[in-house]
Parts: sequence; C-alpha cells; structure tokens
Amino acid sequence: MEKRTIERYRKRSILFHWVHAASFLILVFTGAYMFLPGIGYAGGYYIGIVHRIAAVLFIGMPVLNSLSEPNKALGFVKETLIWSKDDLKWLIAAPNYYFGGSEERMPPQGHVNTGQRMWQLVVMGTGFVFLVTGIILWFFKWSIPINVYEWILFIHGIAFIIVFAMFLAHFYMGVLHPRFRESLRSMLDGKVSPAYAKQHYRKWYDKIINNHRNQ
Amino acid sequence: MRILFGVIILIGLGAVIAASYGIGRTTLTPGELAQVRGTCADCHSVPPNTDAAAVHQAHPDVECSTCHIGASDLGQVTESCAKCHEEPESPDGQDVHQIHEDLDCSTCHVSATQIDPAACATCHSGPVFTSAADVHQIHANEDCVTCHGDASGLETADEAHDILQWAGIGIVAAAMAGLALNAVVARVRLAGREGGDGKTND
Repeated sequence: MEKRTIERYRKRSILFHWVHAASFLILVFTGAYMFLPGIGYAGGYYIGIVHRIAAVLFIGMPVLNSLSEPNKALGFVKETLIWSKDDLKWLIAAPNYYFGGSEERMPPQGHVNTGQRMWQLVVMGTGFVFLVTGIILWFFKWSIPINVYEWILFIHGIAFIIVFAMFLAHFYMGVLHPRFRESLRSMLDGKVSPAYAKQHYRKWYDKIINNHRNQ
Repeated sequence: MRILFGVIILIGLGAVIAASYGIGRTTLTPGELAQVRGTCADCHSVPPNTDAAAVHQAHPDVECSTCHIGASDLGQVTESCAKCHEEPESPDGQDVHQIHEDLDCSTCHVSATQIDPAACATCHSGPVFTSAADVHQIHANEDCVTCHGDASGLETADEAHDILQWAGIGIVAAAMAGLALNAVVARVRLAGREGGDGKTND
C-alpha cells in the first residue's frame, strides 16, 4: 500500500469528530431505550439524565467549535449547503459505483464527496430539529398542552429515525465498504495516500498539488 | 322617609331571623341529619355515609334529599350537584365535560375535585400497554383526565407515536438489509474485476 502522506484531517478535527460521535452514540442508545417499545423501563429516569448530558455535548461541541473558528465553520456550512451539477451526476452514478461497478461516470469530488455532504446536511438539519424540539421537551414540558408535547416528541422521533438510518450508511461507508479502506484510518491519524486522495477526491487532490507546486 | 326606615328595619330583622333559624343552610345539624337519614334508611337499602360509594364518603354531612330528589331514580343527581357546585368551565367542544354532558356528574366524580379512577373504564376500553415503559403504565396511578382532559388530539398523537416506533424499526431494518446486500454485491463484483480481490481502494 502506498505511504499515506497527505493530511486529510487536522488533529483538532479528529478529536471533534470522535467526541461528537461518542455523544451521538450515547444519544442513540439512550434515545432508543426511551423510544422503542417493549424494552423495559428500569432506570429510565437516569437514562433521561444521561440523554440530556449527551445532548448538551452534541449541540455544544459544534457551537463552541464554530465560535473558536468561525471562518472554518462558515466554510463547512457552505460546503454542506451549496450544491452543483456534479452532485446530481454523483447521485446518478453512485448506486452502481458503490455496488462495485465502474467509476467512469463518477464526477470528480472536492474535500468531501456528495454522499458525505448528504450526511453533513442530515446532521445539521436534524441537529437543528433536535435542538428546538429538545429544548421544548426538556424545559417546557409542563407548560405546554400534553397533546402538543406528544407531537413535539413525534417530530423528535422522526428526526431520530432519519439521522440513525443515515448514520448506518455513514458507518458502513467509512468502516466497512471495500472501496474506502483508508477512510477510517484517516479519521484516526488524519492521513491518506496520494492514490486514495486522487481516486476519491480528485478536485481536492488537484488543489493540494497545485498549492504544493506554487509554494 | 318613614317607609324607607321601616323597610330597612324589616330587612335587618329578617336577616337576624334567617341567620338564627339557619335559612340557606345546606347542611343539617348532626342530630337532624341522623334523624332524616334514619327516615330514608327505613325504606332504602343503602345506608348513607357507610357504603363504599366514594361520592357518599365525600359528602358525610349532607342529607340524602339534598342530592337525591325523589326516590324514583337515586342515580340521577346531576341537577342537585349544581346546588352547591359551580358548573364546570368548558372552554370548547373538545373539553371533557362537554363531551360527557349527557352523563351525571357522579358517573365520574366522587367529589368536586376528584374522579373515580375506574369511571372511565366503565365506558372506554383501557389503554393497551406496549411495554413497561408505556406512557400509560408509567402513569398508571394518574387519573385519565390528568392527561386526557380534552379530546383535541392526544390520542391521535399517541397513536401516531406508536406508528412511528414501528415505522422507525422498519426503516432502520430496511437500511441495514440494504447495506448488507451492498456489502455482498460490492465485494463479489470487485473481486470479479480484472486483478481485483475485493480488497481495494480501486
């Protein structure tokens, strides 16, 4: 395997990713415990406490990160929200490619591909929904009509289903898919090989090479 | 002037007499009550204030005829409740009182502020518990009307949440099945590519 020499993620980004991932998983397990039918209620009070602590971490981490590096945060938001024709091409070509087909029709990608940006979009979108509904469920539980409370909980549940289904895809693509064997390691030490970068993130790779040449 | 003075004197005198004779009282003295109740019990089989009906327990100092007007239907006491209790505030047609306006107060109420926890189940089927974490199981000791104070959508939201639970399980199961299928197909196809072994970044 080619030596992994290109820095894909900074240590700060890696730390953020894993702390955020840990809080997400705690929210998933404690949320599923409260959401799913037929799995008991022992210790439910403490499950709720843990869920709230993880929620503060899950929302607070990106907020603090954005405040400390506002330009990068803005770049992340733009990267997530601004889509082009290449994204449409990617969406059309991706099913065949991810099922082991040819890569000929896959358009060149930037630092993250369209699928990863879809994940970012889901995390941002559902994160906002979790923030709003979570605040209501936590702080206004006793001051809203119970039927309104139940509908807020319903929306919270829909967001959970969406983000968890997408998380499964994110986990699978990052850890198990045979075409992305450097993905997980890059999120551990921040590095990928030039061949991997060129293969999957051509626009980003070309930009790095050009910057290197101009230095 | 004399007439006005006389009217005032008469009103004052009437008030003193009324007060001294208990006009306007809704309760009898214990002695009078025992006497009246004894009269009722001569014919009626339910001894007031000693049977298990909570509504009787909640009105220990009220004579039978205060609520039971006539003996033809001892259960019909709705009109009598309004003698002492204010009509319930019903903000809209969804309010629990308006929905049940044809029922006697005592069908549900054992006192002005309490309802019989078993009263709802007399007509409504009980909630089906899906688990120990079910909202009804958790609040098993609450009166139904603590939450179901009106019918403006709680049951709809409750049912929607139940549907969402199973829809969520279905969606996640479908996603996992799709990814498992992808894992198999992708590995087979990549292994079949020229020089491929399935272990590839391409």
